[in-house]
Amino acid sequence: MSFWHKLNQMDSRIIYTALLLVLIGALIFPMGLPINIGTSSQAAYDIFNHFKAGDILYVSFDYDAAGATDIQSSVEACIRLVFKNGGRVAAGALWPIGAQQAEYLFRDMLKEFPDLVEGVDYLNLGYKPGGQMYIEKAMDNIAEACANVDNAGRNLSQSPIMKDLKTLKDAAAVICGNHGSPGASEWVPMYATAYAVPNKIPFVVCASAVNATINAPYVQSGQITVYLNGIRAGAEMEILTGQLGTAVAGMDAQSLSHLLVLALMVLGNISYFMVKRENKAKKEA
Amino acid sequence: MLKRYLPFIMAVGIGLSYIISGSSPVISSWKATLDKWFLISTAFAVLIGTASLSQVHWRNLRRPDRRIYSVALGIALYGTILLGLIQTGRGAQYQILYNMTIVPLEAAILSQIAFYITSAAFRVLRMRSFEASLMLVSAAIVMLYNVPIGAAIWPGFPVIGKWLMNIPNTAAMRAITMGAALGGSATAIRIFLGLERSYLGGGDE
Repeated sequence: MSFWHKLNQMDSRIIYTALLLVLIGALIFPMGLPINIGTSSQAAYDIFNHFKAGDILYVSFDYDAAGATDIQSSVEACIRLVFKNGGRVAAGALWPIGAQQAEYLFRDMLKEFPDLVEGVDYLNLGYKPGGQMYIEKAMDNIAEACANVDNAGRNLSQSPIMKDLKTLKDAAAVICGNHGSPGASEWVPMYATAYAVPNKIPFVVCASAVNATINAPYVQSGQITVYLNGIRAGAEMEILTGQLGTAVAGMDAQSLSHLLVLALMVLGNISYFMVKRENKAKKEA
Repeated sequence: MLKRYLPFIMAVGIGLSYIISGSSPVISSWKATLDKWFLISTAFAVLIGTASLSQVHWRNLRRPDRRIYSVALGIALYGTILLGLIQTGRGAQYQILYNMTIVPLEAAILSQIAFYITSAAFRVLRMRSFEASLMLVSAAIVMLYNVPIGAAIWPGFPVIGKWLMNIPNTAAMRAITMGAALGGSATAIRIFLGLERSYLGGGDE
């Protein structure tokens, strides 16, 4: 078997090992490639940096722990800006695990902003089933849509924040953390098109990179005000807020792993054409 | 007779009344009631799912080759439910369980995809035809558009990548979305006319 034949049928384990080495190498020895701030991240920063004290941001955690690697850093940066400006945050989740992600994030925020009071400055409403129907109901009455209980099982009337958040229309902005369905596809018709766009309320989507193709039409039509795409947007938001975290740390690894994939694509094609040529030569002989 | 027609009458009746209530202010309060029913019924779907899963794995207990997996699933499922009921999702042990199992497991499963994609990119993205070559070049540009090293190599990559995402990709996605919406409408009409009955579980006769 020739060299090109061997290369053409390279064992998957070699590819896996190469990727693993590239990822570990980039994390241990970061190159610090420059990260340019995109227009979307700048727009999100401008929205949340101008949040007024007392304004409420509604965040829908429509993702699980797997999606969090791509989404959480963007959501966290936006919430950080809101708290910095004295704003308040109400969290809901259309995904069961989303409620835990919110809990996780609020716990981190409390370390940074120890004066925050649960029920006053922030509240986790928890997982709410129903997807699109939950959003529709919350547009009329959030308490009824939530069966009047928050994530801890307390009555919503006990939380002062809910006095100013009767419906989704009371929120100064909405963020949807999107890793699939239910997610942005449900928020766009029920909230963005019906209310946010006509009333110029920002509707921000922080999504995992795989959702970029699905959500592109909504971004182009203006139904999504700002679209923060994957860990790249998370890194940009971390730079803008001055709190460098996991997203910035992961960018070098992502850059190098993409280069490895490209190199493998080139190698794969060279070996493909060489094998084809060898086979043709054999036939002619 | 009742078993066959009652679910059909319920589905058509509720579906049509929802459409009418959405467009008529006279019976708009009916829509609010239906919304509430829907939210309650979706919450019950979680219970049905749990019961169905338990049933399948209860049967698996009789099969020695699958027993261990079903036992593990049963312990994880009912252990988490029990802990959640005792402590709610905010309890210390529940948080530990979540952070030590679900977070790393889900992250590990998702990150495996990176390895499979790398291997697949090597084996599948070959210039076998004009269309395949087009896909290969597009994939390479979009990949470089998404990472900082793309702009560092050549500032044109982000520009072309953005164009690919905004123009050809958006056009294709719009077509797919419209097609799916038309398909959904057609299915709804078939249900209302009684032509589509597979959702009742008895085939489409």
